[in-house]
Amino acid sequence: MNHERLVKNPLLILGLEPGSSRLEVERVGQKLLGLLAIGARSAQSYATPWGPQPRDEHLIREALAALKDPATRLRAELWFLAPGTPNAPEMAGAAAGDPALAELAFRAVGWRLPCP
Amino acid sequence: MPVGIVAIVVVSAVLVLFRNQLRHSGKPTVLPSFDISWGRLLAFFVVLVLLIARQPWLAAILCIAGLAPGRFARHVLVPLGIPHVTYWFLRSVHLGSGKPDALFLELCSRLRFGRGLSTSALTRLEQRLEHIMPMGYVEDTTKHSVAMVSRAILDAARGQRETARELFLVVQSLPRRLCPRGSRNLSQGWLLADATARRDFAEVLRLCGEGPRTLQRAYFRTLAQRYLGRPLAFGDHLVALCAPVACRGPLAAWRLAKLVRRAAYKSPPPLPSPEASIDLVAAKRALISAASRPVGQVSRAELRSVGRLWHTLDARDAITGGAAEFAALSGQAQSALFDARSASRELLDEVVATFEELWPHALPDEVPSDERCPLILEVEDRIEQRAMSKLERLIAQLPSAADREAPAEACWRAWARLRALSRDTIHVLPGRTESILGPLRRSMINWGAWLYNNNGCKVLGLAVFHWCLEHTPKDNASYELLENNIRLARAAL
Repeated sequence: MNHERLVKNPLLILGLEPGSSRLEVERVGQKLLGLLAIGARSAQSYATPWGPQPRDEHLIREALAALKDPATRLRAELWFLAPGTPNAPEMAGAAAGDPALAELAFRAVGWRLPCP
Repeated sequence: MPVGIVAIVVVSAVLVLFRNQLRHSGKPTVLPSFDISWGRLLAFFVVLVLLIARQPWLAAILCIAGLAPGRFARHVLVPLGIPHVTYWFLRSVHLGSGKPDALFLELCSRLRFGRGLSTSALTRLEQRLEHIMPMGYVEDTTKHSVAMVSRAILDAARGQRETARELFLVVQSLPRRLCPRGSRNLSQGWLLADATARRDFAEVLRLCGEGPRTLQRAYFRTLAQRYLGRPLAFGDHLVALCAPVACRGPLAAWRLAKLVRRAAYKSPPPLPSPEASIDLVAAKRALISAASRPVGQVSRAELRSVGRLWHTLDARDAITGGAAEFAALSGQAQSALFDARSASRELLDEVVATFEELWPHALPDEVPSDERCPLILEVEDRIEQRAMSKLERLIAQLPSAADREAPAEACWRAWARLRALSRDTIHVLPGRTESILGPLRRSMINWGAWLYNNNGCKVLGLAVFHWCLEHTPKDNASYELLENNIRLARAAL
């Protein structure tokens, strides 16, 4: 599962809700670009169910372009999870690489060094 | 004591000189059976000398080492885990030959405590292995499989898990007479540990149905069943108590069981049925919930439920309705209906693509399901198409008579890749085995015959026949041909 599309959701990046109008998208996007230009800290990260993520000008412009296209807008609405969603799914980094499990599994069969 | 050491040094020097003379005289470096007897006679002579010199303990050790060097190496030297000792002991005892066994046991010894596995050490071991390939050990067929398992261990030690996995899968499935038990057990152990490390307990259960019957396999099966929340039989509880002692790392095995219990799979709340009032939001949440869980924590039954939801929405045209709203929000109101239809198709494609990623890793059904959700059928069709084109490409790339050199290792690796992909595809699409393997069967059998007849890879050829026979229906024309091939090959090997 590609968790990028959950974390780097254009609606999340701009801090919008599903169903936001085109005017709202444009207004919020320009406001964030202006805040970034003056170095405002509030614009340098965005909230996700997995904690704050870094945000920059390139990311904001990509999000604006994605939300202007109906097809990518629909995908963004599909994969949107609001910040503060209870029981948000685990991210791939946390779940897939469990070094303790890997090390014990290989040691149990006589391999001292688990393969990377 | 000094007499004993002098005796050993003198005898070893004689052995090495004798071996070198054989080499310079142009005689083959294979190990005829009389060389083993010759080595044992010499060991007996040394033991006698030591007993006369009143060194009974040294004599006893040398007696065991000389008469049963393989067992001595496996049960004494390998557990010590000291690099180089196992290798040079076996090479000396076998008068300078016996490289494949020596290399394999040397690797086992280094894996014991992880010593001697630096990049430079692995490179030196690989160079030793390359001298063995191509293999001329036609008389002793187990050397082929031992050399290949050493190759797999080296790949695994270097972090090349995919190629290691493919080779281990081939080795663990070889018949007993073609592959020593130690090699098969080690291959199985690595595969089980690798699947457990990835939390792919569906794969662990699948591996527990293949390869040699061992306590370690039974133990990992109980771990997988605990993880999946399945009930354990009385025998499974006994295995869970006793098997860690039989594992090479009993303490690690106990701790592993505790960790697996903590990370156990928890069934999610049931999804709404298609008959209930559902909308795009509910379907979306269900999809994200299924898609975001780690490998081994979503079942095919759950994916079918989610697939039914999406199919119902599509049938009710609800996705197009939702797309129309979003298109309007994006300022495309004039051509909303057209954009909405193509946008909804794209959205459904995205959903199907997500299912394509999830389906191969989902937990299989405990009882085969007859349900035919159209969306899941589409997913299976796409998976089959992709797999068939990969399989056909691999078949076309198999080394053949047209290649000037078809070294044994290249043939083994090519077969390992093909077998692994076929196995994975059959697992994902169990009802379509014949439609996947049927068109490829004749090519595989012909290649197996070429390996056996022309390329000196008799063991590999037999392995190909076994695999094809296992997946050929009895009423198929090729079944009898395969049985005959296997019978002839077994008689010759």
